[in-house]
Formats: sequence, structure tokens, C-alpha cells
Amino acid sequence: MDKNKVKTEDNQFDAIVVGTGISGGWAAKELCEQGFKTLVLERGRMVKHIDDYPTANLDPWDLPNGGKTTQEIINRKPKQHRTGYTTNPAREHFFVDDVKHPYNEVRRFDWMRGYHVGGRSLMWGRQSYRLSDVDFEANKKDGVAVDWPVRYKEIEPWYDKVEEYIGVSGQNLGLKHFPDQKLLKPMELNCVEEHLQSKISENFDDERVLTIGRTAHITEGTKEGLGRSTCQYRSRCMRGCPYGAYFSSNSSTLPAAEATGNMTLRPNSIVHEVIYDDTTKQATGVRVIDAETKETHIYNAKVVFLCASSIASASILLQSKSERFPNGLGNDSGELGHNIMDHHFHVGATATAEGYDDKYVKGRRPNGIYIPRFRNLGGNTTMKSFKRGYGYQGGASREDASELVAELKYGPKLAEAILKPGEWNVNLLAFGETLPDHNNKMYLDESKKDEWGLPTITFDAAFGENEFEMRKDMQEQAKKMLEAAGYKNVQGYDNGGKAMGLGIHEMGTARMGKDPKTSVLNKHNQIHACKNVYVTDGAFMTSSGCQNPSLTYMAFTARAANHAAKNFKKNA
Amino acid sequence: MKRRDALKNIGFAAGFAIITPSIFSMLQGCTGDSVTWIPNYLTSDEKIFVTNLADIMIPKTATTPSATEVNVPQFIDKYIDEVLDTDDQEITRAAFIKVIAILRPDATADLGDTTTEQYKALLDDHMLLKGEIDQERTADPEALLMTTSEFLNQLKWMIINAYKNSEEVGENILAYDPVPAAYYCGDLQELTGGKSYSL
Repeated sequence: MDKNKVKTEDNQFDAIVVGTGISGGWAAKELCEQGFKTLVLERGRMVKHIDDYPTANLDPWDLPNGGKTTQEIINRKPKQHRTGYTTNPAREHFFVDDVKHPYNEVRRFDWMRGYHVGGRSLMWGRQSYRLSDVDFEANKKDGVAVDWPVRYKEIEPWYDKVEEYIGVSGQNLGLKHFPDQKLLKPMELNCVEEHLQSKISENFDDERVLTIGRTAHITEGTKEGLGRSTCQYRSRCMRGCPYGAYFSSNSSTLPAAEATGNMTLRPNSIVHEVIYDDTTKQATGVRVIDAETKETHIYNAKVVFLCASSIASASILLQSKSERFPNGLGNDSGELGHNIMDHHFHVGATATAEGYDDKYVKGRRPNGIYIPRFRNLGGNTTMKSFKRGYGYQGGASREDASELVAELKYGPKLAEAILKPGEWNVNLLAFGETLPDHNNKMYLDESKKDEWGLPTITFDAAFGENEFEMRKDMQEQAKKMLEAAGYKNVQGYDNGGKAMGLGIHEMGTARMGKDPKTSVLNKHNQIHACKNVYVTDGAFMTSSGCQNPSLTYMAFTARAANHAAKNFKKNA
Repeated sequence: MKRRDALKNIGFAAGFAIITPSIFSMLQGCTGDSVTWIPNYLTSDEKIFVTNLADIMIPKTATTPSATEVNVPQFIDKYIDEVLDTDDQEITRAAFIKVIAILRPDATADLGDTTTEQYKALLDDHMLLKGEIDQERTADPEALLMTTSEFLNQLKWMIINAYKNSEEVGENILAYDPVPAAYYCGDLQELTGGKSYSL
């Protein structure tokens, strides 16, 4: 980097937020609403709600090759293509170019990224579940890694606040390990799912129950933001929603921050260092490279929020070296970049449900079923072969081609058969908890630089024995439930567990804990030894739970931002 | 397993219908130009073969257009050219050569002279359905190249997918519901008159 080009801005901000995704949007909103003049930095381009959703209203015949990924796209995005769905032409513009944004793998890691305003809040899965004390107490109980420094009671009001603002639909069940939430009316189960629900209740005497997924979609009325209204059941969410029906930073939190007049949003700003002042023992600001001009800028603030994603925030801290922190800011414990977790999935079972040929559905529900964790909750749920648990997602749907099509070769009968819907299939897809492991890590490769002269990230992580033992049960129980429902052609599958990342729930690289010797952050998401730096994306997670994590990131971010607002003076 | 992976990677095996709908692109240009269009991937013989096969598999009926009327061959040409990788393009090419040789034993003859009955005979004799044993596959389970039957079945699914996702079929033949505004389970006849949705 050319130090001669460094520009120190006149602007002094109260707060700097790095990243505009699920966490950054919430940090921006809360800090701005508390009166903090806030600079929000995003490494990627601007994406304006609705205006910049170019494919939102395209039908398959409006897209080249029916929306199938071409070799041209795969050549630029070979790693993003590993999901099998992120590089579809309807949405590939929201996923990074791997050639431009390379990373390295000692052990394979599938790192899915969106570099633009809104980040992955535009393409997220939207399933929204709370952690419970089963999760917050798990590490302590099992003697794994370190204990969470918080319990459910402390975070509960922040879950309430976030849910009421973003809109989450679903059904409360009153289960201790699966906390009730502030929910909008649930989406409907279809007739086959209702049948499966009743058969599961009839046939299993443990905690298991089937419910509709809890998803961050408005199902009644409206929510604050840019004209956010009710879901239209088009299921084109990952392209950006013109109705603002699902929560994204672009439709919700960033407009709220903007409306205060306190936000300065700067896209194309690659933060690569938090600047630490040894005399005050605090951070003074951040160093930024303009992604387009490649000029370096320094911005100063009283508080810095890192919300760049688990991997990127850890990378920024690892690059923030000083005399006090030679191994990266906040890395006294040596845990920074370690303990990467993701959820392991791609395991479960499928079956065919007969007897519903006269039934079909109206609409394309952007949601499925959920079977909350029912393992290791005490009593008859205790498993000897593995710790923790898993939940199921999935559901029932009709194939769009009937069996008859397979039995015909040509002619008018085939032409007629292809227009009819096929059989009802049921899929139970398990998502399992991953234990934190110090050996699962990411670090910087100073010898391989990107086009901005910054070190690239190297991953070295994999799922462990506990996950593989759990997967056996994940498959087995899926089969048992489908068999208990009387479905045909029950088939288990296990197509995953090879590498981390595909859950797109990477987390844990700057875990929170009570002891600065074994953790990076304290219970308020502050770096133990540099308290005006908060890290509130997935990096803070001390254990993974088996629930989709974004709701938890939002709740902790809102809590941390309000903590910062109380503890740091604005209008400096 | 290698064989299975290879087929899966080609991406238009049976089942592709369900996982990834495949459709004709507007970029392909005007409709009904099945005679004059110039393929990117297909040879002139392959173009003749796909064009004839498409309309034999999905002929025009009283209420529905034929495959060529909605530009199925153009879709398939572009799809093989842009979506398949070079390995799969080579596998596809080899399969075309093999199947065209069966249809036209005399390589010097004009493929355009082949009759509909000859195409139907090819399908009757060489395209196996679910449950039937493919001797060509049993003889060499790990062969990377497609058997005649595998290729004909894959072409069938490609033709079906291209057809069902054309604008004409998607908007006017199948049940088209771009903004459903609700989700619920109901009676098939009441909801769509017994048809599939196109989206």
C-alpha cells in the first residue's frame, strides 16, 4: 500500500460500523437512533432497495438458459458455485467473484460471500430461531471450550425487540428449549405436512414435534422501513423482495438509520485495520482502502463496531497489529480466528406420500417445516454417542412431473402427461450443532495478496467426531418419522459433512467468554482489552446451537449498540 | 459412483425437471424459426435429429403447441453450448454420433430423408424405460460415455424441460400464478384444473 496516499479525513464520527449485513444494519440503526453520528462502511457496491433487484420480477423464460448457471459464471465463481444454487443467473450478481476475491484452503471451506450494501441480509435463509439456556449452558455442562458469559434472560428482551421490528412469522409452542418468540401469524402447513405432524405426535414419546418454520417474513400488516408489506408467496426472496416482505438491511434497518440524519454510508470502503492508540488503550478509528480508487483513508470515532462477518471481522483484527497487540487486536488469548463453526447438514430422509393426488397448493411458500431439537434435553432424550442436537427443516411438495412421464416415450400422451403435477414428496433435512474446536481456524497469508495489497485468508477446518456420530442419528430418525407416517419409498441420505461453510453459518472466530485468557470478547461483545471495539457478527458465538443464527446476531448487536450508547459519549 | 457423478454433473438426467427447471431464453430471438436458425453447438445432422425428435416426443395437439413451435431445439443447442462443460459436451457429442449412426446406417445418406417411423423405431428399440435393464450399461458399468438409452432419455427430459419453461407453455398452457399472495392446500381441480404450475 502507498502510504503517501493516506488521507486523514476531517470528519470525526461518534461511531464507525464496518459492514452492512444482518449485524451492521442493526448496529447502524441503534447507534444512529441513539444520536451517534455514525459512519457505516461497506466494502462492496451500493444496492438500493428495489431499484437494484434487477431479476426480482423475471420468469424463468426471461433468463438465459432458463436460469441455469453457465460455464462463464462458474469460471468466475467456482467456490460460490459449490452450493449449487448461489450462482444461478437470477441471483449470482449478489455473490462475489472468486477470481477477484480469492481465499486459500488447507482443508476445504466453502465461503459464500456477498460484497454489497446489505450483505447477506439480502440472500439469507430467513429462518429465525432463538437460542435457549440449553444452548447458553451447553459448553459449561459438557466441559467443551469456554462457557458463554450470558444467559437467556439477559438476551430475551433483545430478541423481543428485534422480532417486533423485523417481523417473524411462526407458531409458539411453549417449549423451554425452544423459546416462544414475538411472532406474526404462521404460514400454513400443507395437507401432507399436517398429516406428518399428527403422526409424529402419535408415534414418539420424546420431545419431538413438527411446526411451521419461523421465518423473517411479514405475514400480516406492515413493518417499518421502506414500504415493507406482506409476503406475496412468490418465493423469489434471494433476488431481493420488491414488497420488502422479508427482512433485509436494505429495506429495514439502513433506512431507519438514514432517517435519523446521523448516518453517513460509504460503499466501496475496504476496512483492513482498526487503529489502536497505546496511550489511551483504545481504538481511534479505522484504516480504509477505497475499492475503486485504491486510496487509503483514515476515519476516527469513539466506538468501532465490527460487523463485517465472522471471517472478515477476524481478518481485520488479525491485520490490526500494534506493539501492544503483535498478533492482532484483541488477540491476547490466541483464540482470534480459531473455533470456526458452521452447521452440518445435507443429511436426512425423503419419502413419497400417497393418497393426496387430488390435493395441490396455492402459492409458493418461502418457508418449510421445523422439528426443533429433541436430543440431549434430559430424560429419555439423552444420547450416549454424541453431544448436543439437531433440528429438521424441509417439508412436503408435489413434483412438477408425474410418474406417467417416465413411462412414456413420445406422442400426444406424453405431451399431455407432462402438464400434470407429480407425486407428493416429503423431505426431512437435518441441521446439526457443531462443537467449537481450537484446531478449526482461519489465518492470514501475507505472501498471497489480493488486488488491494491485503493478505488473503486461509482456512483450515473440518467437522469432527461428534458431528459424524450425530449424523447417523440425524438420518436414522428422519427415516423413522417418515416410516411412522406410513409413507412409501423412505430413503435416508447423507450427502454432506465433507467441508464446512455450505450452511453459510460460519461463526466463532472471536468468541465471547468470561476470561480474557481464553476468549476475545466480553459479554457485551467488547474486545476484553480494547473496550471501544465491539464485534457483533457471528464471530462472537461461543457455541453454535443448531438453530439458524442470524436472529441471535441481531439481538446481540442491538444489545451491544445500546451498551455502547450508554458507555461512550456522543458529539465528541 | 464415478458414472453416477458424471451423469449428475451433466445436469439433465431424469429428475432435472424437478430440481432445476430449464427453459428457452428470450435472447434466442424470434419464435418459429426452426428451419433457419444457425446452431452454436449442434452440427447440421444433430440439428436435424433434435428438431425431429422434439416434435415426435411432443407433437402438436388440439390444445398445445409442438416442441419446435416453442423453440425447444434452439434452447437445447444454447444450453449444451453455454451450460455444459467441455467434458460433458464431448460426452454429448459422442452420444449424438452413436445414435445418429443407429438411425442412419449408411453414413452417406441424407439424415433429412429419415422418416418419422424410423425415429419412432429408434425410440421403441433403444430407449429403455424405468425398470428395464440397459445391457449396454451392464456390460460396462463404469464407462463415462452415455449408453444409447441414457442419451435418449436425457434428450427426452431436456425436451420436456425446454418445452415446459417456454414463455408460451409457461404463461398460457400450464397454470401461471406469478403473484399468488397466499399459501394454502386445496383441491387440484379447483386450483389449476389438474395442471402443474409453471413457476
